[in-house]
Amino acid sequence: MTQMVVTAAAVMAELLVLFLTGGVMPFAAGDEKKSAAETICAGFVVTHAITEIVSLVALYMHFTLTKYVYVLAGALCFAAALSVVVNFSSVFRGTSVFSGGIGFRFSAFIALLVAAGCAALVIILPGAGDPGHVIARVAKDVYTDTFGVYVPGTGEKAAFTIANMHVRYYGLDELIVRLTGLHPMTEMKIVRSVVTHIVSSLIIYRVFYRLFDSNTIRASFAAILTYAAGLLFRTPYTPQGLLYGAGWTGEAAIACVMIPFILLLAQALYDRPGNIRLWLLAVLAGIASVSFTESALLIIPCAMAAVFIPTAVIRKKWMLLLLVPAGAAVPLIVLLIHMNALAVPAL
Amino acid sequence: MTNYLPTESGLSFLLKTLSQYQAPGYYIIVAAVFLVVAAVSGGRRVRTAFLYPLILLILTVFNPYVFPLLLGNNSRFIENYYSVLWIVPITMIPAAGVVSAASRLPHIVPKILLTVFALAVLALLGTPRLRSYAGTEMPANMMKADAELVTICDYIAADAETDAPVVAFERADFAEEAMAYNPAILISTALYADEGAPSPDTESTEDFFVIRKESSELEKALRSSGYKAIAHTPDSYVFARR
Repeated sequence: MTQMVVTAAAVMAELLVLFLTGGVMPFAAGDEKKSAAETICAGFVVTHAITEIVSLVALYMHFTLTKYVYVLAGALCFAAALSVVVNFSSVFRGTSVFSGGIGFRFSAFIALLVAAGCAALVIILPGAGDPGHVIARVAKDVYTDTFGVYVPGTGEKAAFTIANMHVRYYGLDELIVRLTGLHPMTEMKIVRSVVTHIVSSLIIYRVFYRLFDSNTIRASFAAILTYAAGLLFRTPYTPQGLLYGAGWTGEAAIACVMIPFILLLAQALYDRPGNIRLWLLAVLAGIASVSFTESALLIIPCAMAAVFIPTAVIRKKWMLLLLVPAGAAVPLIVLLIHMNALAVPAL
Repeated sequence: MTNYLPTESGLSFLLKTLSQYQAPGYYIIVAAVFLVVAAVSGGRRVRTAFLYPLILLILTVFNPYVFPLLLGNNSRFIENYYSVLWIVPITMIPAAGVVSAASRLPHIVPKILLTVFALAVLALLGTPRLRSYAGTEMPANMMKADAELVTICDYIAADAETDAPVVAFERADFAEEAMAYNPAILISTALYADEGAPSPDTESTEDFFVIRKESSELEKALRSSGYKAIAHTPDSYVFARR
């Protein structure tokens, strides 16, 4: 029972952190209606970008896990505090979770659907194995109080090069495991999966909300149909295939969160192409994505180009074309390092 | 698992990659129909979100003549090439198509009928994910770890004389999960690293072996090599070096 309570609390706490840090780079600007859902979505990107930057520093400076946890927690607290200070009135008074009237009932229906999906993830679905040794790395780090030093299942230290150092360090999960005492498998297979599922659902809803001119009913129906399509098409080549099979992996984060997030960014830029925060969110999305999986180094630049270029052409806002190199810069630099096309200092 | 590429398979690479995961080829047709409906009824914004990005992808990343220029001969990315399919929001396209088309209909009844028809198409032509979980046992614990493996690892932890016991699992999936459940365990691949791997003998250095109960040859080899069975589960024996 204690484990269940701690697990639920970890999910709530992580969503709160995402909400608070998201206020640093909110989608909405000025008098545009705020959305708690979009704040959480932005928070996902901000949090993981911060985690990636702190992880790089930790690896270069050979932090213990304890030190890394303190530094990361401090960085996230700073971001949350900054967000509260900057957005004080809007975070606590201006965000709107429900649209009111009939829209409220549809939003609540989606919330029930998402909750049912989370319950299925927690209670029923067995969860995939750990072929990428992702959970094993988290467990090994926690057990040895090191950060990315040991190869799981062996007593050997990893032969680190900067080419592989960024990928799959799951620092946020290690932070949660250290702070809560949850087993790494519980953290990854339940907490991580549920948070990914919730954020993915929020992003998909908001994409349709913006796409259909803030019509809550249409957005709700579209989100429900997307959910249905995800349940009815069994293949990992649909993002939801990853979510229900291995929602805690970096691949699920890329397919179910980051790619729809880029679509959401494009929708927001369609309305406000000059919003600097959206540009910064694109850059942060590029930074955050490199921490999830090696595939992201190729996928994210392709996704940004595929989505931002048509938006720039259709809206005739040619400066949006600069968003592609801006957002894709970090993944491409890391990609060049991986392909040994760029030399960097050794660790 | 074979990863198909457009340079080798041409346009059929998509059909082959879908079929690897029991997805029928007509998914492409279903998605294309919904995309056309979305593009026609949805207006410029819907086309900008779904149609034009797909056209750009077909001209570049999905193009067998262009994508080698992007990837070169880098085998790490070519192996994971299928993951670029994630860029297409395949489950959002039917939703966008149905809602866009329904919004053009004047009355509520045709809207409902259209939605029901679309759901029926998805249900009848799809391969429901939930069906694939029928008969699956519910997780036995909050770690979603195999209950038998948890028992085995607990036996090993109780019996181990060192902080880092070396364990050889006959089942590779057990080895994988054991690393996550108990990071103190060091894994030996002695039992499955190569085909025809030598049987355990007196030179074996592993502290523990975990084998299937029906592996009688392995059991004999272990008993004659000085290993003793210290525990068993319904399907496995745990042998320790004595």
